[in-house]
Amino acid sequence: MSLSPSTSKMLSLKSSDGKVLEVEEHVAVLCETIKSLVEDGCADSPIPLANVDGATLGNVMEWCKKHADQKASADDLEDWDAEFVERDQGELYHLIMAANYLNIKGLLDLICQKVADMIKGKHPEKIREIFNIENDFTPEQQEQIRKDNSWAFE
Amino acid sequence: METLTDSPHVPWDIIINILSRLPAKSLIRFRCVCKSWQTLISDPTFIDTHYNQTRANNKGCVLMRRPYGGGDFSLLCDETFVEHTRLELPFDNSPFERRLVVEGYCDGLICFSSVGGFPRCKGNIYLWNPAVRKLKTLPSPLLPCGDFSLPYLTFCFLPHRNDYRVIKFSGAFPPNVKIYSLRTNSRKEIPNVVPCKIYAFRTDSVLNGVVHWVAAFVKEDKGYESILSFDMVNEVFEEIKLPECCRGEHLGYSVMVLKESLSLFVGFQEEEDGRVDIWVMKEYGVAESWSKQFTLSWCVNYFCPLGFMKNGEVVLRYKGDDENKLVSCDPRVQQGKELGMYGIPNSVDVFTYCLETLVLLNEGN
Repeated sequence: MSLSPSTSKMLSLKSSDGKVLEVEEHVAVLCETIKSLVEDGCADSPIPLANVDGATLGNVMEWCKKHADQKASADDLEDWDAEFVERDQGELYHLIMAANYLNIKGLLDLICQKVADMIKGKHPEKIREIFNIENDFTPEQQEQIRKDNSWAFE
Repeated sequence: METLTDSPHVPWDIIINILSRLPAKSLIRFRCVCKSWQTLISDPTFIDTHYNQTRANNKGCVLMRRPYGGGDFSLLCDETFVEHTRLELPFDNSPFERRLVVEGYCDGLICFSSVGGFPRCKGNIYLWNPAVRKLKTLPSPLLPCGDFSLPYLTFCFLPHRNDYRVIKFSGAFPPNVKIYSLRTNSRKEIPNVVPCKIYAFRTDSVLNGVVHWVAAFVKEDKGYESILSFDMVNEVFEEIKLPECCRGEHLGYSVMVLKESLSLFVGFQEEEDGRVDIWVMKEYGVAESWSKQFTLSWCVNYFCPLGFMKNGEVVLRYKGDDENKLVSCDPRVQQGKELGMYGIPNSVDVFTYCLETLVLLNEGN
């Protein structure tokens, strides 16, 4: 089934905090999760999205709208994406979780690349803070890893 | 106080997605974040995922061999060619072990052999990944005792199997051929080799899993040169004819794959000047489709392509008015361009793009 912009109808999406967003169907189906609902004829209005808050849903649909635009060139999209990911860690976290839940590979890869670029030069201590990870090494074990690969810690 | 439950918790498959995009050096450092990250980063499946991501993003640097002066190799930025790291090879400092020959490089790994000295049968083959600074000595010795002719090694990557291979031709006629696989860490002998003698050019010549060499063949007591191909998937040898008009007096041939086409570089010496003719086989396997694309008419003091750039163009060293320069070229568009690297010593024999992968991470130091 092809969904061209000219025949596209509107879909209502309802966020976890009860906000309803009207989105063109050809934009919303960039989310694989919504696409399967539409294809199975289960896209009753409004579609409840229990894991995505209203602000994040707005951001996600902004990205989908840009990427559903067939007039946008690859260079144009690249520049636009670079600006789109200029956000704080909290917003990036919510976008990753939403892209994962709504199954939007392009957006998920974009944010994961942004996070990778953000963390690549960082100290392991800072990484634990960002990802909320507990250090389960003993100081001796940690020292051994450092010693074995001292060049990587320079 | 902040607890685990009320702060962000990122799902494991997203962690893998993020980490697969990081440079090798960061990942080595992040092995001390926690035990689960340490296990993940050393896991062969993750190393494959990271490899595929790095290849897709084409992330790497330029590797240059420095035969004299501090360090054995330099890593340079792939855009500005500014040096950011100097590396020593992790070998013994004994003169015997230092007699190393670079046999080939592809996809981030370099293959060396150590030959010479006594007894000769102690020569080894090594694989080295500069991005993780790990070295592997292959299980088979370079020469069986009593064999006094030098073997010829080809190092290549087989994308279909995600595997690195070392192909060893003995110096005998017809040659005895053995193939080592890094993935299985084993070697096997290939029977029924076409009687021919491989020429030793160490450049990348693999197209769709088929390796190519220029070789000397004999037919009806007459010697001639041709390309020998070996399909690594089906393990079959074949002969591919060279263009007719480039036979005769020349300095040497190099066959390599440039941007998905089989290409042939032929060096000529003409009084004081030299030139390199570059041919492309437009339809693979069809000898009539060889076409001369262009000629580099500089003084070529040493005809040997050095390596590849990020965009797949080949790098050649040539002698300018008073110093060596590097030029990259793409035979399909009939032009070469200077890389802006001058004063390159004659001894530089490796200048190539190198992916930053985690391959060999689990080998010893």
